[in-house]
Amino acid sequence: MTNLLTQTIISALPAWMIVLFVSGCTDTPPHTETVSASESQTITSVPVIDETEPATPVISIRLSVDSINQIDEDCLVLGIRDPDSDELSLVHGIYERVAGNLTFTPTFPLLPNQEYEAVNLQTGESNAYQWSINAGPPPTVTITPSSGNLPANHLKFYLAFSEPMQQDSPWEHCRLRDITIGEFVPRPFRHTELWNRSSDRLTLWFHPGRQKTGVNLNVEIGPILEPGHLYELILDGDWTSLAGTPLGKHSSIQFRAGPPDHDQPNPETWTLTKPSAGTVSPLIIEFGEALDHALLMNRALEVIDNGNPVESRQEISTDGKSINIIPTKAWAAKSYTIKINPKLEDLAGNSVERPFEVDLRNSNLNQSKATSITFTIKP
Amino acid sequence: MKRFYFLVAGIAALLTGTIYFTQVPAVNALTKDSVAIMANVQEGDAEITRVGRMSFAPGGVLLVADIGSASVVAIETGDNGPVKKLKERVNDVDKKIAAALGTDKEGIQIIDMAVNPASGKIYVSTQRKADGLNAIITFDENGTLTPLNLKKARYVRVSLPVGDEKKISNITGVEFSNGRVLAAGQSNEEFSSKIYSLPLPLTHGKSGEVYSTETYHVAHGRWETRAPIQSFIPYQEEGEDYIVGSFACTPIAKFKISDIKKDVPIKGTSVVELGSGNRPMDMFTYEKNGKQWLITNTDRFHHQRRPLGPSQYWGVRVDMAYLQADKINEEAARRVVTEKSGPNGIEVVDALFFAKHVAKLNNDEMVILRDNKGALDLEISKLPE
Repeated sequence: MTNLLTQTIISALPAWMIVLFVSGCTDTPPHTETVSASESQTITSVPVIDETEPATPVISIRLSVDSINQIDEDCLVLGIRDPDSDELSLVHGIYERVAGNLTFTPTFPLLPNQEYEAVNLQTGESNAYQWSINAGPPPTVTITPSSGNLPANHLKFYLAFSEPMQQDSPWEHCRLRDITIGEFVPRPFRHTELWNRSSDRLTLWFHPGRQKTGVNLNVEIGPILEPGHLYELILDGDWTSLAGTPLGKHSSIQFRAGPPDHDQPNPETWTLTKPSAGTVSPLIIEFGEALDHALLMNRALEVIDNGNPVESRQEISTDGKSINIIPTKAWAAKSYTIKINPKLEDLAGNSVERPFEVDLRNSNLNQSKATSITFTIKP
Repeated sequence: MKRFYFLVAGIAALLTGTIYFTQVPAVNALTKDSVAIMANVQEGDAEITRVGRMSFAPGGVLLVADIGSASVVAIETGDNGPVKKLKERVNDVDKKIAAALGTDKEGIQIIDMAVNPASGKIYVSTQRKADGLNAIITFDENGTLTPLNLKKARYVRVSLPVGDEKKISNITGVEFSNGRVLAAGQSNEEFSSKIYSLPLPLTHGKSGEVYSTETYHVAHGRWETRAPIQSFIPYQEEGEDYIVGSFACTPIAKFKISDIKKDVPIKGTSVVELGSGNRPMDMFTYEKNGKQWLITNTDRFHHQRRPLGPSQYWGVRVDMAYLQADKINEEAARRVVTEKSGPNGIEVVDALFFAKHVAKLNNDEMVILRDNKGALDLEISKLPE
């Protein structure tokens, strides 16, 4: 704002010089039309706060004659008072001087429910400021996978929230309890913030270094899950949305760890329930194990007809073990192909393309399973 | 006569308007080979949705990883020097930044720090936790805090190709290299390690190329495709361009990028292993007495169980000759984890204890954002001889 004002003055200067020169440098000063929001109010030595825009209030004081030559920051400040040290930490803002008044507008919108203090440093007088918004209903969360048996080398959970959440260090809001032995598992999550673009879905990873056999963290600290143990994944209720509302209560799921899964998903073993020709009944594909929910949601499977995708919607079962593909137009009596994204994984990170625990030195690099299935609908 | 006044006043008004509304054409930032760094430059709100890692390209161009939109934003800061380095330590930087943003220090997350080598000015990227507000805060020679005006910026935004719109990347680094800008990160669900190449000039609205990586992890004794590069620098060897990247647990590997091809994974060569239980933070190189050194600082998540020094934050310097070593991958040099130095040319740097972020100022000095009993101080420190 200061730069803009300076730019305006500099830009206008030559023009005014011409006007003044032509008019014979009359004594009448050019009239200023600038009106600040605070001019309509009586400016006292106590900072006056215009709350028209509550997040960006305009704070004003009348400058004393002695203060005219002082820098703005020595006349008026807005800050946060530390109750212990009584120190005032300063909020950054833009200053303007208009008709003997000094105004301050915070550069960044002020937070609701935070106490601020405006101080006239000429007189020591201050004025408290706080604004608030009505909190909405608490956010809700869905955890996927949600229950049942998970392999002991399970890798990741998806947390889908009903609204954008605070993003910093999400693992600090998450705990894993081994119900079987009655203890919390130390440091199970990878410290990587993997939010989606709208900040309402988090991918929460178990630490891969502990889930891979033979890897140093796995050897030194041990795996996260013990086969046969019952676990509870707990999300703390103080996890707060960007709108300022906490979840309010703990959210949790329980699951039992099964044997580790080192096998790739193999489409050749999937079971297909084929619909009848002339219907829009679903094509049901059962995987024989749970597959990654998010990758399935990203249309890892696509039915192809003559090289073109069949327009359809897809419904993934709650347990991730099957998918229904429902076409927009009726199936024809012919052959179709299901194209499979080779990145499609099971819960332990084994993909159609390669197992999670691959040693590229010793393994056959071409470990990919079938990436397409052809099926025929009879007349 | 009155008409003459009106005429002159009209010309004056026109002149005023012309001067005000015509922006002085900005001098476009160029590389040392006079290649433009930015094209189709936009003016206005850079609209960074989730600020991430930062670094400088020539001409005062600040490269910012925007994690929220999976893109790199290049901002012409106009900060072209001369060099005026920080005169004295600034205490409680986190508290000062937080207050400037209208909150307390628990209310912000410091993401990264970059130093403009042309001016010595320090840039800190930060996010206000409560509402996800993004800001880049600068500190000048006097330690004066000023937010970079992201609302009125000259900038370009280049998307990182993520295939499907639903997938995002966590961008772990962005660096200017020879003729391109490079970024590193991983996709959300697959967690596979990616390198993104953005050709010059960075053109608003355009998109870069993406390549997968495979790296031999010395500590694990196996090849990895998923471990993301945590920090990297561009590097040249015998006329070829490389990335030198650092991973968690903590191999340093180089990736040849002169001849990268789409759909072919870039195979990394691990050259040094710094020891397990560490997460690398920043990297840079410097030259001293005719020798090239690599500096990297790390966050030791094994600190409670097996402390390496007085702080979980520590760093080393590595003789760059290791990058051309014959012994690689299984035979790569391993830091002697029980000693402060060793093998020859790998040394713990005392000045990097408690360093949460570090950036090069010149070949003699670095800027450190240092943990001081829970507070963060900004200071200049000597680089080892």
